[in-house]
Amino acid sequence: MSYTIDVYRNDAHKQKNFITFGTYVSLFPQLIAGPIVRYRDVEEQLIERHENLEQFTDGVKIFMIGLCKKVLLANQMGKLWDIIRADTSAGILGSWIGIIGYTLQIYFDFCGYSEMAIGLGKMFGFDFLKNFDYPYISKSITEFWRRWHISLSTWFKEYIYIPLGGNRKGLPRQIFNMFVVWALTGIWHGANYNFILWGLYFFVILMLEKSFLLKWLKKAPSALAHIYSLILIILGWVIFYFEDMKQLWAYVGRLFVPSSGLISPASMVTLTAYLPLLLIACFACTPIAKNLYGKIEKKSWSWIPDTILCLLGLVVSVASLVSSGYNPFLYFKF
Amino acid sequence: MKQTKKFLKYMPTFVFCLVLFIIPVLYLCIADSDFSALEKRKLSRFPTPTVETVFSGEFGKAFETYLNDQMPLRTFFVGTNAYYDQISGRNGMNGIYKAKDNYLMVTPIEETSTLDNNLRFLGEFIESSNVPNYVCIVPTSGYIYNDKLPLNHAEYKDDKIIDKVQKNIESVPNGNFINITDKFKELSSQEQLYYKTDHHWTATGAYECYKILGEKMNFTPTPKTSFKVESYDNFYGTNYAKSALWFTPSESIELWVNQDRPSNSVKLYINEGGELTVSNDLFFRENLKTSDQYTAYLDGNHGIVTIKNDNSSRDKRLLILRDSYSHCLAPFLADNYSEIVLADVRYYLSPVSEILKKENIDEVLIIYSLDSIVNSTDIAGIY
Repeated sequence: MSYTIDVYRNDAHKQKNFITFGTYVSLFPQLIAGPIVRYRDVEEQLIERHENLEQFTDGVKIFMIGLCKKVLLANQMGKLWDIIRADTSAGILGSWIGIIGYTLQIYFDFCGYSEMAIGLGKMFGFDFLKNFDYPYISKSITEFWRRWHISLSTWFKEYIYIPLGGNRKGLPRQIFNMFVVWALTGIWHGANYNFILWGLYFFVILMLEKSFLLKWLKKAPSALAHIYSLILIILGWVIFYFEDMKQLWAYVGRLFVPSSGLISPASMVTLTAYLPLLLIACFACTPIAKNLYGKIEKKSWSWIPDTILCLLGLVVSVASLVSSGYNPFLYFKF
Repeated sequence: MKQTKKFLKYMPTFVFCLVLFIIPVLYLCIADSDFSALEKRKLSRFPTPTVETVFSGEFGKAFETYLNDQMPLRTFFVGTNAYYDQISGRNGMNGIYKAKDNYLMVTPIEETSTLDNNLRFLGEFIESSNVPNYVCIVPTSGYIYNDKLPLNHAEYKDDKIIDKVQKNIESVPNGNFINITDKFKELSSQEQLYYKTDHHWTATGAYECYKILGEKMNFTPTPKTSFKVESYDNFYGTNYAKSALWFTPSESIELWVNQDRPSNSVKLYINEGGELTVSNDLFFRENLKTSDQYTAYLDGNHGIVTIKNDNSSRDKRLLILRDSYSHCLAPFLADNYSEIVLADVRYYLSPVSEILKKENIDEVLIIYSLDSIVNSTDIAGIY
């Protein structure tokens, strides 16, 4: 689709070589779920790219980070979410822990796949753009959508929002354009009412932020802005998860009506067991580890931790996959 | 020197490619195996692709199962994951708690609607049987050895479930309930009633239950001194296999042989698929060398087995409806009954009431582990 539009709009040249064109269409890293690659971004790389060992090594590292995020964090957070969701008397705090589990699962799932795709691309000599930029450290929903699934937002912006006139045709038209984009963003994730509701939920929040909230948030203490964003993001995932409206409202009820206390003993046991992983996952949502790594990356001995972590990550990931068989492909429905 | 430095920088790539290369090579070099002794199940073999299965996606699925089942170093990887789970705090999340003193315990059993069904079926059976029925439920090791559990563990509700069973059974005519839970709790500090690596009770546990049964069912239990204890090392139970914590030490399995019993007085009749085998011994020591060592008692699971004792102190016939916990208990009871019929409704599919008439049964003992009474849908087949 991107190819057709890019060529039509003269953003890219026609591709006369069938093999090069076929390479783009079947480019594995973007085929299933990975980042959406615009044709014009890779046009030159399709014809001429330079694979080398250095880039391959970078690719391996990025791929490994993605693999670990998917297998060691997303899958485990998924289990936590499954356990707590099934326990209808988990309590108000328990239910929040559950949906936080899902919030982390979906991020590491999407982000893990994207990074595996980017890593694979790098091994073959492609340079794909970053798809996630620590979305959960955002201070507003507007910022969140600049950091979450960047290739998707860019795609919608460039192929729908701007062609519709963007913000150049007056405010009512801009509101309409945004409405269309967000309804479509919802539908892109699945053909179900809850996805449309999810898209419109963000449409409303973004409109509110545009009109006055953003100004307030800028003045507010940053902790407050973080909490505001996270709560809205988490509630968004509740809408995203439940395809059945009754179950959706039931879960929202569990989050706000303390009908079964703070937290059930069973959920407390689950929470304690998953606490180390929860903390690691939260930590991995921030750029702290990356910044720390940046300090040693250039050192001559950096190959030692690189190699050890690579081997350890690979063995533990394979071990987890082999022993659980639990590997639901979250993105497959979309 | 500079060359080496450059080479070292690419180490992650070499490690990555090496692993990705080694795994397929191992797939090709290691012959596929049919059976996993640890998991006690058949492993899937390479599926033969046909046009039909390839397009329906069936082949892809079967191939994935094959890859997973025949994964080289599978035991190593499964174990690595089990220890990783332990290190990262998730003890018990795979259904087994790693507890103190090398105990591996099944996580708490939750009440189900199957329990209500089972109680209804049992009630109807007991009421229509016209002979005294004794029901006994064996609690889990996690409940009895609560003090050995890890700090963070879910609550065991064995007592509540067993209370419920007791109330139900006692409300039925001919129904008697035998509660062993309190006595087991009391004994737990001195005796090892359960295996450490298995969910079953030990011979000691079964013997203590036998003593309680004697009190309630009016027979004199054979004293402990009559038994010569044969102890066999290197026993690993099913909890060990489930936990995948391979470094857990093995334990010993005991056979209690009654020395005061005249030789060849007790015979075991195993009826398997219409074929009758007779054995002069209740213990099958050659099974200790196989992967399923617990089958040393009464040769493991069979639909129906009969123990006949010509020298029994009483001329009484007992029917035991049971799961595998009875394998270890029945040899004790053999001293007190002239005939014991053990029916396992998981495998014995004819109506149990027929046995009552045909064998002239005087008493019925229904003994199930907590797991069976709560989760087994086979108990419905007791008619």
